[in-house]
Amino acid sequence: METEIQQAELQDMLKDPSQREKGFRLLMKQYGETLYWHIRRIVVGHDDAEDVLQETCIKIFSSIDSFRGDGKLSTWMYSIATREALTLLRRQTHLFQSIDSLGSTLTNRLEAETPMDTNATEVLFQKALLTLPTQQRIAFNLRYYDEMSYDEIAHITGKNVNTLKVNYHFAQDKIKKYIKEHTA
Amino acid sequence: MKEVQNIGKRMPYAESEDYLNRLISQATEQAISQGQKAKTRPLRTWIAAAAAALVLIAGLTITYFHTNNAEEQIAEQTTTGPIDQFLNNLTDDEAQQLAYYEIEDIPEYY
Repeated sequence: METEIQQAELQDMLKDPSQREKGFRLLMKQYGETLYWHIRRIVVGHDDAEDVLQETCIKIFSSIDSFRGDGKLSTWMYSIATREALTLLRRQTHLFQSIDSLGSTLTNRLEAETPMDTNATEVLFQKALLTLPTQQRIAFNLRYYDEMSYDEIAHITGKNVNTLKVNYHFAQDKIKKYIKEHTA
Repeated sequence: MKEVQNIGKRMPYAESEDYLNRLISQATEQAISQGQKAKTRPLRTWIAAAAAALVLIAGLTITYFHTNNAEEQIAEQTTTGPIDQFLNNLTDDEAQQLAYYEIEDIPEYY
């Protein structure tokens, strides 16, 4: 995560039209990979992750002026990436279908993109994650993989901190239960 | 559960560092070029709108003057044409006679 000085420097560059492009390149160099993996964990498929990353970059660059600097740049970028990933998942649903019902589609995608020699437990863990409702899965990913605070997750997902805490524990229980059932 | 703890944060799929760097760099450059295009787009839109407005105003002006001239010409013809002058000079009786004529009244057809 960025230090205050780095964020301040980046923000100054991004606000200055003559340095904006340079600042944006630095920003993406710093956060591009973590954003890619955050997106990939939501959409699962590599091609979809690539598309969402592209859209996210465009949104970040075009709306950089709207970043007020109250919070962290990384949190703001994660919010955009999350929204773009959810938009893509919504596009993959049928009429009146919830994105939570995409679990089996995403599981199939996971199996298709997993190399044959992959550790079975790694796949099982991901399958367990895909049984969670999408918002719960995103919150779990942000806490577990990106090690974000509940405040940051609340900022990204627009959920209440207490709700997130409860959801995280529910998610942990569900994952444990799924793994127990599938390793017997 | 110990096995799950052992895998930690590893994902079942991986992408090479080089590939990801290239992908991020491409996405970055694409976003910058899109941003530049978006900046020039409003200016182009304004120029196109102004040109369209000018063409419309010019068209309306030409049509207006053209129509006025045509109306004046018609008005001139109706008031100053020889047939109109002849008809205007007729008395009521003559006009009635002209309106209710028989074919035999016209010498050429007689």
